[in-house]
Amino acid sequence: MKKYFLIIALLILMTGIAYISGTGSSNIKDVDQRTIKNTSITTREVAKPDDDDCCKVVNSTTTNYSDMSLYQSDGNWTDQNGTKIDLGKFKNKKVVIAMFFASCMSACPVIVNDMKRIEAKIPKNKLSNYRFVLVSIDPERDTPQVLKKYAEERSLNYERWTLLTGSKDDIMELGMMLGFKYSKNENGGFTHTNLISFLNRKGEIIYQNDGLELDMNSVTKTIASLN
Amino acid sequence: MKTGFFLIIIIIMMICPLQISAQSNESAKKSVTKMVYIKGGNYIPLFKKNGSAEKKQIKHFYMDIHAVTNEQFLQFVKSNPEWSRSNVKKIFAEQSYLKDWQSDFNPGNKVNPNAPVTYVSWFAAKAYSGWVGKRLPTLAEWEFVAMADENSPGPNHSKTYNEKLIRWYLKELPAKLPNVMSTYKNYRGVYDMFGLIREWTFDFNSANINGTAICGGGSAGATDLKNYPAFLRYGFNSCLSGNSTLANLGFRCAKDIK
Repeated sequence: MKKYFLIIALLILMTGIAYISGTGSSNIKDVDQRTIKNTSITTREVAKPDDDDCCKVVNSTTTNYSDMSLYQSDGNWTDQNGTKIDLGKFKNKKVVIAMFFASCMSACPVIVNDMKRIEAKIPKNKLSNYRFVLVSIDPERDTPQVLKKYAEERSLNYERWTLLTGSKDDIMELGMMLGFKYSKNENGGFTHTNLISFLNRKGEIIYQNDGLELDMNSVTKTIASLN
Repeated sequence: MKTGFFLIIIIIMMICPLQISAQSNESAKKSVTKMVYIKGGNYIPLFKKNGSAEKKQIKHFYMDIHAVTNEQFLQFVKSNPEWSRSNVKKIFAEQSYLKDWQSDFNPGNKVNPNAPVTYVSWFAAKAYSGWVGKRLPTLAEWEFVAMADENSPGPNHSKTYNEKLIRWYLKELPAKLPNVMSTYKNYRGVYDMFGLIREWTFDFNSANINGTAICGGGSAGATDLKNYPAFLRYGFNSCLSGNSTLANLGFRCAKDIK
């Protein structure tokens, strides 16, 4: 009888030691091992360690895109249908992209309207080469459902238009890449710059319209130069 | 009975060294900076929004007591070679990224390993923070902590204190930066908020969205005209983009309280 007690006591002691030394360096160790494996460094993967798809995408983005391509970003986005997408999806398309938030009553409707004016300038037979992307800076309120309603109220054609939401981190990172500045106000709204960016097929910024006046001349030239 | 003991002892002997070696490897690879608890409170941003001064509520959080050093950043680059000087993508860091280092994985003799790492972009700073399980402090958090002087949570707008800060902003950068924690510890237990380098924050460009307050309108719209050092700071911030890298610009990390 005694010997069993002794063995059990020792076993408990042993698992205790193994457990303590295993958890001593906390989650950071897991993050570290994973990041080395995937050669990526974002907190997003910390949140979703088991999402293999995301990591495959990461690997392909870092190898395929040009140095100044926005698609270098490994942000995780969700569209108006709730589908997870990677910005690299827009590769090989000409992209008109802006950041906004759905409850914005002043500047954002102007921006969206300007993008529709740009869409109208493009010859019908070339429209399939274009994508129009609106990225929300208000992930708390702009759920996919809200984005969908927003698109429908403005008759945005889903063949060309995509409305995206993501994590605060990914939104800030995209903002930094575009040079779009924003700040949340105490009342829940945002102060922000007004910026429409044109990306070539590689995802590089080739023209930006800054401010609320659309320079249709430059936009037309840009459209013509985007091949 | 005896064989059972032997078995257990052998198993213990096998497991323990494995665990220990795994741990010591880990600590050699990643030295994590000590953090202090920052009790939240109110902070009044320098610039008014829509004409009225707006109080910002800062929640409790943790902040690194010092900036990330060259040595620490080297560990990160070694584990994440895509952030080495020759691999980094231009959209994430401009040409001068880690320019003072001798080579990709060797800072060399000209750089003090215990000095703050500089010539790092916002994207690199953010990536490092994620790697150590932390994040960048927000601009409001950083400014809130920076309000403290050595003896009080601040803000201290006395003439002598302001002059001290301005003198530091105008001082020429030494050829070799000194160690972290070599200036002063403020009331909140955080070192070098002034006097060593400038620091990235998560939303560094959000203070001055429309660009007029600093560049065109001078002090129009500011809530505190005595706070000249803050003008210098905000002016500096508004000239940066996410991939900028500069000799006097580094970062420290923060963390949420779970």
